[in-house]
Amino acid sequence: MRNHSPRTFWGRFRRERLAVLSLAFLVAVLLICATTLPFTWSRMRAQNLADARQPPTWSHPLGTDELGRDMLARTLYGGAISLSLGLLAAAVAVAIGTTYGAIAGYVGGRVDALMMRLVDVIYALPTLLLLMLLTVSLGARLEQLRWPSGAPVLGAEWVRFAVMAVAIGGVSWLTVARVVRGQVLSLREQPFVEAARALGLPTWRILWRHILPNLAGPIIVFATLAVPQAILQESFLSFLGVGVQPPQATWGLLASDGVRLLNPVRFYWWLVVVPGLALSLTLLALNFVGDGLRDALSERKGI
Amino acid sequence: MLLTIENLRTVIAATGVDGDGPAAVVDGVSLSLAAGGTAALVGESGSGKTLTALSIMRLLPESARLASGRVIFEGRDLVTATEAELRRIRGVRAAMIFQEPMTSLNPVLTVGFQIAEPLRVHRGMSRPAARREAIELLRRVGIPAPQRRVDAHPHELSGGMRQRAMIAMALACRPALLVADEPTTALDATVQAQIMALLGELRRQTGLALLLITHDLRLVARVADDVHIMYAGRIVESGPVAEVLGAPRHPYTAALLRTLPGWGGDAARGNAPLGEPRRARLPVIPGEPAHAHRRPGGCAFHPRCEVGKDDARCRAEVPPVERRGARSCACFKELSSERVGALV
Ligand SMILES: Nc1ncnc2c1ncn2[C@@H]1O[C@H](COP(=O)(O)OP(=O)(O)O)[C@@H](O)[C@H]1O
Ligand SMILES: [Mg+2]
Repeated sequence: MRNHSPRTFWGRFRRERLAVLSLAFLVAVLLICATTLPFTWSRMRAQNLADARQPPTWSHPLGTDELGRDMLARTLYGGAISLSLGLLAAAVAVAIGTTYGAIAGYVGGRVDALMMRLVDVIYALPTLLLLMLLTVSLGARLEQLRWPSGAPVLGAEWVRFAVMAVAIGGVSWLTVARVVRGQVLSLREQPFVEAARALGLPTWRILWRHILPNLAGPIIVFATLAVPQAILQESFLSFLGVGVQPPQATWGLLASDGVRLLNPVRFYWWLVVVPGLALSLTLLALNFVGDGLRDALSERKGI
Repeated sequence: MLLTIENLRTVIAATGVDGDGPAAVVDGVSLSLAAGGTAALVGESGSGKTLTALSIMRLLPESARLASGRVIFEGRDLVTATEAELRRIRGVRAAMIFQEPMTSLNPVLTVGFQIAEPLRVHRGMSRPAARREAIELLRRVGIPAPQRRVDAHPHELSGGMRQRAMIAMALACRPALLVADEPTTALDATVQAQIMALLGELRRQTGLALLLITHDLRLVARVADDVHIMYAGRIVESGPVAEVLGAPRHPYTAALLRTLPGWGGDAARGNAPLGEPRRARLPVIPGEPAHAHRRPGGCAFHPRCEVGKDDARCRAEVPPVERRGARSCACFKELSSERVGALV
């Protein structure tokens, strides 16, 4: 037990040095990746075979890949895509999981039992298999989507991106659903819920505006921890060749390209180290922030 | 009559362990309350007061079920009302406040938001209009600096303030009936008196009827018109406060009165000797309160009854409710005034 625990949430979070440092790092990474996007967008695709596999030089500070594309631009661009994919996937997971868990917990009884049994079943399925299934079935649908003019709604490389985000979100909502359901189950027995019912408020309003705000803490922590998990999952799929597809780039895809070029004769270290380092540091920082948030929240509850 | 309850029976599902069947925790309760009146429901803890209130509001927990009876409120039977009809009655025509002011407010929402909720839902008020009304309500329930307090979270308020805020929430849409379940039990004596004064004032201003649940007989003597004494799920005695507390007919009522130190005959005139304000005492009557799942046969009170302990009839038969004028009593050995004198 620590004495003098600050009363406000921010006061407690600020004491978690590592988490604050990580948050600053993440904000910096996000800002740099996002603001450079207008430049990196085209530059990361510009090939120059004469310059292929150059180690870091003045004109290419982080070297070039096997097609002579600038690794600095590719890393910054890949960061933007990786991070936005992680955020999107986390948002999908939180949206599905919160809705599902809240309904199961509030309705309770047989509906709850059935809904949670389904979660158990999905949990037991191999995640990778599920991801591939979702990717294939969703991808085909999305590619066929057309505007009335006949133009595709999403270009092929963005279809892949959207599918990855939805698929990863679609397999990682289970944990949120369980957490939210458990909390709602205990919150709905709270006297303030009874008081809200005594005021004649409609059920959905009680659920969304009175019960869910009490869950903001755990949901934010989960969302923070879901981002690195989604980024990692996408990287893993890229290594297996079923992640986002070139010319799209993510840190995972860049690293896997680098690894593919590993050979006993020459070591193109920058192709592995640069995206690998960016990926690891960012994932680490996200996890530190998530842990810091969780600690700052649980202290308030006196745990 | 604003509210008439007839033969209300509420049962709790079997508790399993002893294989008990469903137990009637509210067993044939009848009472009525006129518009603007105050009725008190009194009894030891566990006697079924809260479940009676929740039955009236149709807010019973899943483990309880309203088995039979009628709850006629403003001419409508709430027992047969649909959930949608009930939502238009709760918070609009009939409101309820609870014993725990600490936990009956949502900890993460501001007091103003919570008071504005019924106004926005039932009155369709806009956010700013509801906020203005919430500030006005906070002022009316005696919360200082309402413009500031409207944005406070419950943990920033004292227990008494929270109960005031609860009252503001419950009365936001100006209901005709307020069911108050031990509204002051969790508060200290001075605050208790303030809250009761506030309820009395609001009653006079708005013509609100109050069903007050309490185990504080001194409070009953001061504020209620009628009193209903509850024992083990049944109403054993009821009538005008001055008559019932001045000359109790049921031995349980008499026993309750005896647990109040300094209770004298002037209770009959409705002004109990108050002395220093002190926390309401839980009445202590020798013997164990009857549990709904193990109610003694015959009159439920007989094992603790001075008069009927050894009476064959009291042990075997459930005494029916006998009406006489404004009063009613369920006892084979009704006390006459002389006997009360001897007992008190
Ligand atoms: N939710 C519940 N589930 C099961 N039994 C309950 C529940 N609430 C109350 N009871 C039982 O019903 C009886 C009456 O309770 P209650 O109405 O709360 O009494 P009071 O308000 O007079 O103290 C008690 O024996 C209690 O144990
Ligand atoms: Mg109670």
